[in-house]
Amino acid sequence: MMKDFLTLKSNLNKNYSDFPTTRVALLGDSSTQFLKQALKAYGYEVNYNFEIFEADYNQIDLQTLNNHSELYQFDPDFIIVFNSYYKLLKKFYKSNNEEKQNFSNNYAQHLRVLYNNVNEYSRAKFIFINFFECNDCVFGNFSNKVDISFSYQIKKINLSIMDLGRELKDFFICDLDFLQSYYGYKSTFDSRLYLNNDVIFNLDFLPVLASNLSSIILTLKGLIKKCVILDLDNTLWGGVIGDDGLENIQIGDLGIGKAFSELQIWLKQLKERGIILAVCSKNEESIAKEPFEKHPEMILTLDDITVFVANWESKVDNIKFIQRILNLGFDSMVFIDDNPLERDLVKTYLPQVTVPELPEDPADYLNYLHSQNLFETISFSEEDTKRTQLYKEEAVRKVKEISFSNYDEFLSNLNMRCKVESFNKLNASRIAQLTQRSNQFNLRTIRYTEEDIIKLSLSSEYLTLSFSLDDNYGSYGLVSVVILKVNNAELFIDTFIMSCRVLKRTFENFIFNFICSKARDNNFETIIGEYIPTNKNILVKDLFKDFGFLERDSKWSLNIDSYSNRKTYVAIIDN
Amino acid sequence: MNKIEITKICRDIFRKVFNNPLLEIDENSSPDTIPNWDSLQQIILLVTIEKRFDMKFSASESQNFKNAGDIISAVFNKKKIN
Repeated sequence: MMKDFLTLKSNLNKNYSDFPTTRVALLGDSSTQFLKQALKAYGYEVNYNFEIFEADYNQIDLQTLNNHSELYQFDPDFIIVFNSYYKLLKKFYKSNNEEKQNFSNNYAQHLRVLYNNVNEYSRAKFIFINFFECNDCVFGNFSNKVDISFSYQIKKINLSIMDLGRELKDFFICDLDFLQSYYGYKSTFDSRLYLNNDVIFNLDFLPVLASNLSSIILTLKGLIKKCVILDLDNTLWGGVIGDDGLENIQIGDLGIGKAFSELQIWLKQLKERGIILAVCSKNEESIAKEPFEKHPEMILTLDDITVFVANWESKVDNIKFIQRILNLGFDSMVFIDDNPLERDLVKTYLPQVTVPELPEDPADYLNYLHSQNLFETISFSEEDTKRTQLYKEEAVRKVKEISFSNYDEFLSNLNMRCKVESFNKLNASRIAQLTQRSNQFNLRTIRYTEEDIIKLSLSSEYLTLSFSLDDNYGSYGLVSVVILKVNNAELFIDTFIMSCRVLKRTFENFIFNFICSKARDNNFETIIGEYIPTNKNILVKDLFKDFGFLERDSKWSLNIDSYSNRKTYVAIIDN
Repeated sequence: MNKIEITKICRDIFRKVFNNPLLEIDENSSPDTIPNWDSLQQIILLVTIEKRFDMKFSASESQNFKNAGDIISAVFNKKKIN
């Protein structure tokens, strides 16, 4: 359950010094002190130090339009803008009918100018809190048919904000309208606080809003959930398959089956948007699989499940096993189980895994999971829709790998082929996503948005490379990204990322060979690398050393002439 | 609930909100005598008291409180009527 404001606020006295810091600017046209406190205090809950600049009251335009403002001097990573609907309503009432008709268009135009300024004067990501879609009851329900009504215009404004978000890649939206409709008007707003103090929100709503804003920020920082691990009995269906049998488990029309069916439909949607589904159940495997294979009302099929683990081992061990197969971080996993004991064990022994406290009544499962907003994302690409298939192909390779006695023989039989391309409009979203999602094989962990990637692709100061890999078992897709900054005769490796799915394929050898031959062809002399340690990229700590780079002033340097090609089983294919 | 009980509960809430378990509170305690008592802290104070006693202060009431005594009396009057 979400803490109340006063309890959350007590975090402010705690020590944030061990947490990573990110700089957040908060601009509002109402009093934002409480929101600032809530956001700072919520940071403690997620082990993050939000260093917050709060602009003086009602200075949104002043701070964003002037390139020397305190806002830009603060050099924020994120700028949150909050326009209150009260102020908007006041402005609307002052307008004549013609202005009312154009109200949303004018607002969207204004917002675009504001964003353009922010984008020009700072490197910050822009987070806009949208409006709750109220009806001021001047026209009653008829307002839905009248374009000079506030409710018509406010809905149109929210839609325009979404359109801006689609067009402008560094523009993100905090969906206050959803939160308000979920928690209800009375829990969200407090008209007394507004009248007396120009405070918009009910105090105990602030932790909810802070949590929502923080999940956008953390997602932009690369903390993304990639996988859901599911229990079966009383989680995916009602009853116990081993005791009740196929005919009596509750799913579809039987008993409370509808609640489980709806949960499954939702999980299937998650899978289609790129979340990996895994099963972890205490059962005989053949019995656990029976409903997936034979029950006519099951929504999820075995094809939807990337890793299926059913045995009598502890779930902690089984989740560790799933983690090894998928090669994802524990902090990118969500574990859903109706049994509080299992949940507590996982929470205790695998504290990085997110474990929602599922309500007792299955009827509340889905609604509760919605309220947790577990699957925040900041990008979506074609690649996401294919992820389950990619991971399944990988599972087949893993089995093959075991059947070859000699690893070189295995690699050579894969028949790997790589396509190399510069960044372009078509691959930008996938490239941005790799920079956001990859943590392990990532030398400097710089996160880029799609807009950043397009800028890089047009810049003459950078050489950009993306690598897509295929083999006999299928396509891995675009799995590696290299960004090289040109500095006279030197190339600096700004970014080198490889998806962990292609580790131990001699793929990094192929990439280094490629970089060096490209550098040689273009008369560069030296390649400079840097390793910025995080708690996740220890894997590549010695990468530069292994490729013959020499350490110099905490960076790594390679004389291109001294590089000899490394052995690789990857062949290049021409575009 | 009598006034003594209400006063005792309110005193604990003051101490929690002002984050000082030893804070001395009497009827005359006010923003002049308690250093952290500003308009924002007052909002938190009033909202916490409302939740504890399951009642609401009106907008104008909450504007006119001058000291702890005013607040405690207002709670007492509401709980007495109910």
